Order: sequence, then C-alpha cells, then structure tokens
Amino acid sequence: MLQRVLIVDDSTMARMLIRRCVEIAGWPDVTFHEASNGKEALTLLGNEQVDLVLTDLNMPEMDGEQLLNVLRKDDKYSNLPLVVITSAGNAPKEEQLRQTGATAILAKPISPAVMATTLESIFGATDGM
Amino acid sequence: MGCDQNRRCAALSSALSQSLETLAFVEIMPLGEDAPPEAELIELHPRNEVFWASIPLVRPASGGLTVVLSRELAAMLTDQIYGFLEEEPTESMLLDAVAELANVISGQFMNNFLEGSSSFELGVPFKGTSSKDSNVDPGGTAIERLDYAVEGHKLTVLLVGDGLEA
Repeated sequence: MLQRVLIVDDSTMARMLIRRCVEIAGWPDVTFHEASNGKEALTLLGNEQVDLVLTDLNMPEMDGEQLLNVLRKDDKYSNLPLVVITSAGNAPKEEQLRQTGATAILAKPISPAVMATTLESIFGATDGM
Repeated sequence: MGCDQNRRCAALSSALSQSLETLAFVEIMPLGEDAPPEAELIELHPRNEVFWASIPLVRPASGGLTVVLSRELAAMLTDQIYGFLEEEPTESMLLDAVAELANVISGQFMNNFLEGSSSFELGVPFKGTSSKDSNVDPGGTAIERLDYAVEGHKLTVLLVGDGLEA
C-alpha cells in the first residue's frame, strides 16, 4: 500500500515534476515528504515513516548512491522500496545500482506512464487511475 | 551548422532535440539552416538578460555542458514543462528549471556519445543570470557550440572538456 512518498532531489522543480507524475500515475492522495539531498533524507526518515523513496543521483552533500548504500546496510530500511530517477543512467550504471539494492531505475525525463508501471510493479494496481 | 562527420556534435544535437521534444514538446532548428539567421532572431527576441546553467561532466570525460537562453524562453519552456504550476514561477524557479533541463540534456548527450557502453557521472549544476551571452563562462574554451531556434528564440549549448574527442 502506497501512502507516503519521500522525494529526494536537489532541484525544487524536479521534485514538483516527480510529485505530479506520481499523482497522475494513479496515486493522487499520497502524502509527500521532500528532501534536497541524501543527508536530509536520512534525517527525515528518522522522523517519518515512508513507503517509498524516489531519489535523484547527483546531489550535494550526500548523493543518491550514498543514500542507497546507507539504507541497504540498515536493517530498518533494507526492504524499503527505493527508485532512482536519474539523467545519468544507462545499462552499466543501472546494473550497478540494482546490485546495490535499487528497486528500480527511471531515466529523466520521467513520464507518468513509466511511473505508473513502476509503482504498480512494486505496490500493485491502483483504482485511482 | 550541420554536424557532418562529427560524432560529438551529432550526439549533442540529438540530445538537445530529444530532451526538448520529450520534456517541452517543442521542436528545435539549427540557426542559419532551417531557422532564420541569428541577427533576425535576436532582432525579434533580443537577449537582454540570459539565464544559464552548467552541468559538470565528471567521468569518464571531464568538462561541462552549459545551456544559455533568454528569460523569455526560460519562462516559456518552464510553462511547457511545468504547466501544472498554479503560480507564476519566480526567477529562482526558472533557473532551477533551466538547470534541470541542462541536466537532462547532459545525460542524453553522454549516453549518446558513449553509445550506452559505459557508465558516466555528472556533477551538481551551477546556474545564474547575465546581461549578455559573452559574460557567461562555460568553464573553458568551447569545443562545441550549437545555436538553435526554439519557438523563435535563440538557445545556445556550449561544451567544454577533455576526453570528448569527436
């Protein structure tokens, strides 16, 4: 069940776009939390429970790959779905991220259709679409 | 301004059109070819203030990709991409949108240039405004410069760096 999503991206506009994609993808009523880098995301995760993390890769302070590594080494978050949304993705990078524990990797620019397919594969179909 | 046999130029040109067509549903035309000459375009839409964003290329090549465009074009593209915004975007939001666009173009370019054969790393964007094009510093001598017409406005992409042999 998808109810709370954490979006991690240093770009305010990218966060807005990702948020909109999730809503259009069939989850208009989820609660969104936002962080602008991995460090902020970890702080937020300490205070809020989330069902999904959508994270960019290139961010200051702590990037998406470092965030993924930290979360997968922590028993509390080892099974938390984490989707990487990046403009720096290609086959070798995706393979590396999957091995580190990314649930899925989406290429920027993202579309609501791709977001819908990805979220349905993780959480099952929604009635909201 | 055709790319002829230049693989790097072709990768950049293709990245630009892929990104803008997918994100903003706009077509781009190389200046001086299908589009009107630069002088005519600038007369139509002067670039009194330009917005720019640079994305560092970290690995395997080192350098940067800079996108330069007018405030008007930045506002138009932002409206196209983020049409759901309920309020007029601020200057900071416009710059953020230009940086995100530059980020997507950079990713597409590296993917095209490397032909998906190896992973690459981009850096965190930096961005700003300037009174004119010549004040924008792309971080070195441009090895590639592409000027395009987008909906009657000029958009420039500058590429600097090593390890990006054409």
